[in-house]
Amino acid sequence: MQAIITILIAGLFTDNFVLSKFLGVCPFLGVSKRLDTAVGMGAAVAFVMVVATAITYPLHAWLLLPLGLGYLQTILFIIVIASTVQLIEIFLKRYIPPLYNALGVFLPLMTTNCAIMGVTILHFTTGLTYFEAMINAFAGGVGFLLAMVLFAGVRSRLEGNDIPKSLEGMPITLIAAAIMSMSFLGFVGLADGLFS
Amino acid sequence: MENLKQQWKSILGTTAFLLAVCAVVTLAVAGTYVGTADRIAEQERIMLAASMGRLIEADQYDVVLYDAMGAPKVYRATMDDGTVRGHLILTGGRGYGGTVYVMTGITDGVVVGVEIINAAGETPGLGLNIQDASFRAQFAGVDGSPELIRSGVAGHNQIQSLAGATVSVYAVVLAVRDALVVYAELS
Amino acid sequence: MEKKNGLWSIFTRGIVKENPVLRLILGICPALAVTTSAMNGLGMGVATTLVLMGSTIAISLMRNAIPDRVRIPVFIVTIAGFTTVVQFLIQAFAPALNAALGIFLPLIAVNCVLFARAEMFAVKNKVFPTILDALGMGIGFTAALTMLGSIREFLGAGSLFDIPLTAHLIDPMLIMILPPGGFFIFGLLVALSNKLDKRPQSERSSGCAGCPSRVTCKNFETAKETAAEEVKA
Repeated sequence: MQAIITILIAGLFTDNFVLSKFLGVCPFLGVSKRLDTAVGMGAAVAFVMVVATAITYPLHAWLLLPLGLGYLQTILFIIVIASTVQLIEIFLKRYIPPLYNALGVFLPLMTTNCAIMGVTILHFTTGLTYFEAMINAFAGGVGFLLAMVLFAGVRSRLEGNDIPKSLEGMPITLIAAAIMSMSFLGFVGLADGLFS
Repeated sequence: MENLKQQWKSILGTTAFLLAVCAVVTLAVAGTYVGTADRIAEQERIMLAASMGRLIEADQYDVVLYDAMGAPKVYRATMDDGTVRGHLILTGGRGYGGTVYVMTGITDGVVVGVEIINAAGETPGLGLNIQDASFRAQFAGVDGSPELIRSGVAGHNQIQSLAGATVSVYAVVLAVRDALVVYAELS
Repeated sequence: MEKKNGLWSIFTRGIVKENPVLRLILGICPALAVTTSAMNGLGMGVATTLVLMGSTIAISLMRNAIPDRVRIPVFIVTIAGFTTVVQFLIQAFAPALNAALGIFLPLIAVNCVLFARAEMFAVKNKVFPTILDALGMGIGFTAALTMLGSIREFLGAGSLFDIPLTAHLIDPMLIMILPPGGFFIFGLLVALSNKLDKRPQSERSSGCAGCPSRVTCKNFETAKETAAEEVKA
């Protein structure tokens, strides 16, 4: 049980995928300008992360490794992720149109999202079980959504401000992200405190 | 009819091309793997040997116990004249983002040092500080199950935690406890 | 003479004017994550350049045979393949670099820079210009990462390329090698390069056309201009 709680806290706060691990920075910086796109992107990432883990984990653990083909991990994972995303898009469009309208446009971006690929590989380098990996993917995805939503709030406040010319656009966004990342560093004490 | 046939032809052609690219790429990757596998294994051996040398200096390291999956678990360090300088035991503890792999050097029932073999899941700047020599030095002299303390000066068989890294530190403590158990079972 | 100028500019633009990290804002994940030291930044840059060159050359060679419909999957497989090959080579010949880059070595396969160059250049040009473009972009990427890594290492650890400089004199700012420092220094570097670029905003191009993110990305407007520029060139 302690392991599960640690994973949840790590994924959501202390090892936040985008603010601590630097995975998924591109969509984080590009899409977090408005709250609705931020929520859509965050939800899409969380969803694809869980589905991708569900598929890639068994493939690697129970197919590639026993056959000694572990070195095909990168290629297989990225093909699986790309195809999974395509299938999800088709499935949603056909059977759950409201969800498609909300998330659909973000799905093609998942293919080059290093957070998705990163999390599927990390599950193996850190030796998690299938169940733990699913929890980790869920926690990480929700953590990403959390970061996106919080950052959208920050950026909407930046909109109305007077920013020096050279800092306009990407630079001020990055500096805001720096401060946000610093605040998430504070969560480390949370994990420590829970298990003292 | 003609149109359908053309469509089929184009789909087959496209698929064939994609399959061909996949085949070539897989061959190239497999080829590189076969070509470098030995060297990579050698590098791992060198790294492990370096860790072992840092913990217990000896002329030879032999595997005396394998784990359930056939990987080396315990090495014995011996000198050329046959004297046993100690044992090096590989164990793991549940850390922050997965397992922390630790090598514990034990001589005559007393821990002489620990090396962190892999802590990929721990947080840089915080949990990863378990790799610091000053932290690891605490384990030297431990001869019973080590205990983790959060504050106060660490006494015998006590390990003081690092700020913001309790879970990672605990992983190392668990790993060393395991190593001591394995060592006891050896004798 | 004109042709020579054209080839030269293809090579140099990736280094400064269209530096993938500082101007096109591509491939930021590795740029922030591994630049905790100058050596790591350099290593990542070299590794990415190798994959970039290999994959773009392969794609350029195949460019007339690739059916348009499976363009993206072919890019994906080729790039992933080269990433794995480079990964093994580094594991075998530079294990310290492998340990330092960690998970970001296989993540080169999803680096936007590679897709962008494949889509925008390699698939439309002959092999020699492609080599120049890839080399230029690679050098630009490596330079940016090394610069970022050097600044962070110097401020955060008081050393440069593992040679202690001020480490024993002043207490370094640890936060610079932690994630916040990465965002911060990178932000300042982009601000600096914005300031040094004297061209008006509308003339600045971005590598967006090759990046799947363009639909929701705010830089997309400039990307449309880039596409027009490339067609003219």
